[in-house]
Amino acid sequence: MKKLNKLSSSQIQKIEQIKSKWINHYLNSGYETNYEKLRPLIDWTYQKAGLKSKPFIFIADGYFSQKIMINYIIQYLKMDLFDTLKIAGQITNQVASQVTNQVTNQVRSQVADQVADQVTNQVADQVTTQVADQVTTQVTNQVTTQVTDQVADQVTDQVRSQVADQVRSQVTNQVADQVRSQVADQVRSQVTNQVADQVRSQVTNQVKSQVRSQVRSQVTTQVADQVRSQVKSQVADQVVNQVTDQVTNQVTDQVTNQVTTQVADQVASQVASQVASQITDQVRSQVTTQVADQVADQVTTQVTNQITDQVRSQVTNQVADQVRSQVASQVASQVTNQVRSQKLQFIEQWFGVWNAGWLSFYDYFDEINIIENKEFTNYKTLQLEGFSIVLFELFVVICKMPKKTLRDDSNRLHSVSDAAIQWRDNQNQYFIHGVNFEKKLWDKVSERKLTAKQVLGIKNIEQRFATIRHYGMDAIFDELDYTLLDKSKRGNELYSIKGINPEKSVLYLKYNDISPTGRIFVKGIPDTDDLGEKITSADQAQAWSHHMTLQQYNNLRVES
Amino acid sequence: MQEINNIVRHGDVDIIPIEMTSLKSIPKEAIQQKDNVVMHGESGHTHKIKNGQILVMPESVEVKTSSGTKQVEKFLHISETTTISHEEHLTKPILKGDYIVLQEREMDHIAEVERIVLD
Repeated sequence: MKKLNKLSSSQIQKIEQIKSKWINHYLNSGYETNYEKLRPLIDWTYQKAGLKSKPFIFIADGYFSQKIMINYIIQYLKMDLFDTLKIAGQITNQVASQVTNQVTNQVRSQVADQVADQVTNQVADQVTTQVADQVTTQVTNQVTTQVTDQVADQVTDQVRSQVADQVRSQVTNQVADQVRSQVADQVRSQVTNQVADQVRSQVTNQVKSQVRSQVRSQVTTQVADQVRSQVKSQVADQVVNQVTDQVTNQVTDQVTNQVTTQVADQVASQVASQVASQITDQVRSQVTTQVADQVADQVTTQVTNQITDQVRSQVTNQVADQVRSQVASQVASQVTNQVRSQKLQFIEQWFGVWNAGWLSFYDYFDEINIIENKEFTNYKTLQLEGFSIVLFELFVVICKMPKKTLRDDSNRLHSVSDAAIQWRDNQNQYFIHGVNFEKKLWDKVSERKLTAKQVLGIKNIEQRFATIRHYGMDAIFDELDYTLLDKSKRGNELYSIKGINPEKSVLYLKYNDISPTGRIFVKGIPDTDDLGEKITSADQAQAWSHHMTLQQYNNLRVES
Repeated sequence: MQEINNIVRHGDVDIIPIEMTSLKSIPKEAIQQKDNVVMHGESGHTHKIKNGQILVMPESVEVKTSSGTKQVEKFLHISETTTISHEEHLTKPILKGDYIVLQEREMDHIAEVERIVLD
C-alpha cells in the first residue's frame, strides 16, 4: 500500500474534531463511568498483563476521594498482612525468647491490640470525616465482605512467598540480631552492672551499718566479719537479681513494642507500594507498550513523517498540554499536598487522563482508518472510562471525570465565579490563572474584598501574583501611595510605598520570575541588607533576596 | 575583570558554592536525603537534581557568606556536573562541588519579619 503523504480536506477537519473530542471528554463531558463497559476492559487488561486475578472495581466521585479510598483499602490489607504474615509475632518471638516467655505473650497481645486499634481508629476517623458516606459505604461493604476474605487467601500465599522470605531474612534477622546483640547486651551489661553496683553498694552499706551497729555491741569482730560476708553475698545477690529482672522486663517490653509496631508498619506499606508498582510495570510493559508498538508500526508503515508531525503538533501536543499539563498535573499537585498533609499515601499510576496525549495521536489514525487494532480500541476505551485509574492486583480504583472544568484563555484552570474543577462529590478545587486557592481565600480574592495592603500581605507569592493579576497591577498600586525608586536592565523595579506601615515608607520589588511562564511577582524588601548597607537599587534588592552581594548578582551566570 | 561565580539561582532556590562561605566542607552531621528533591513548593512543583547527594542537617548551622550570616540546613554534594530541573523553570547545570542551599526570601512588612518566599 502506498504511504499516505497528504491529508484530504475531510481528514484535516478531523484533526480539530479529534483534539476537541479528547479535551472535552476529560474536562467537560461530564462522562459517567460505566461499570458494565469497564468490567470486560479491566479483565482484558489483567489477562494481557499476565495476571490471573479478577479485581474488584471501586469507583470514586472525585480525585481526592479516590486517593482516600486507596488508602482505606490498603489499610485493610495492612491488617490482613499483619495478621497473616505474623511479622509481629515472629519478631516478638525472637526478641522475647531471649528474655522470658511471659513477656512475649504480654507484648504480643498488647502490640496486636494496639496496632489493630490504631489502624481501625485512624482509618475510621479519616474516612468517615473526609469522604462522603457513599465512599465509606461502598468501600466498607465491599472490602469487608469480599476483599478481606479473598485477600487473606490470595495475598497470603503470594505475599508470604515474596515478602515473608525477604522480611524474614532481612528485617527479622537484622532486627533480631540487632536487638539481641544491642538490647540484650546493653541491658545486661548496663543495667546489670549499674543496678548491681548501685544495689550492692546501697545494700552493702545499709546492711553493713545496720549489722555493724547491732552486732558490734553483742559479738566479737570475728563474728561480725562472718555475718557481714554472709549477708553481703545472700541479700545483695537476691536484690540485684530481682531489680535486674524487673528492669530487663520493662526495657524488653518497650523495645519489643516499638520494634514490632515499626516493622509491621514498614512491611505493610512496602507491600502495598510494591504490589502497586508491580502491577503498573506489568500493565505498562505488557499492555501499554505492546499496544503502542503495534499501532505505531501500522502508522509508520502507512503514513509519512510529515503527516505524523502535523498530527503530533496539532492534536497530541495540544491535548497533552491542555489536559495533562494544565489540568491533571495541577489537580494531582494539590491533591498530593492534601493527602500527604493527612499522613496518607498519594498513590497514582498515571493511567487515564495521563495517557490522553499519545492516545489522541493514534486515535486520529484510527478515525481516518489508517490503523485497525482491537487491542488499541480496548486500551483507548479503558483509558476513557476514568480521569485516573489505579490498579492493584486485587482491586482497581477509578476516579470519574469531573462534572465541569473552567479555564482561562491560556487554558489554565481559572474561575472567579465558581470552582475551576467541579467533582461529583463536591470536593471542588479553586484556581485563579492556574494557581490553587483554598476556598476561603478564593472567596475574598474573587470578589475583590481584599485591600491592596492585604493583597501584598498574601504569603504565597504565586497566590499573590494571581491576585494582583485579577485585581490588575495598576489597581493595586493606585490604591497605594508609591514612588518608583529604580528600574534595572534585568527588569527589576524597586518601589517605595506608603500606607503599608503606619510609621514609614517600605520597599517592594516588582520582578519577572525569569521562568518561561513570564509571571510578574512583587515582594517586600528591607531598608538595609545583611551587612547594614541601605538598599537603594532594584538589583541590590534582588541580590539581598537571593543571599548574594550586588557584585555576585551582577556576575551570576546560571539563572532560571 | 569580572569575577565569575558558580552560584545557581533556580527560581526560589539559591545554590552557593561552599568555598564562598566560612565552611570548608559539608558538616559530617549532615544526613543524606533519600530522594533527589532539593525543594518542594506549595504548588506541588519541585526542584530536582539529576545526580548528586542532598544532605540535611538535624539542626541548622550558622554559615558566614559575603552577603551576611545565614542559617543553613541543606547541602549539595555534586561529584560530577549535573542538572537541576523544575516544572516551570529551564533545566540548568550545577558544576561539580559542594554547595549550601538557601531559599529566596522577602520582607513581610505587615508582620515586620523576614521570611522565605512561598510558592
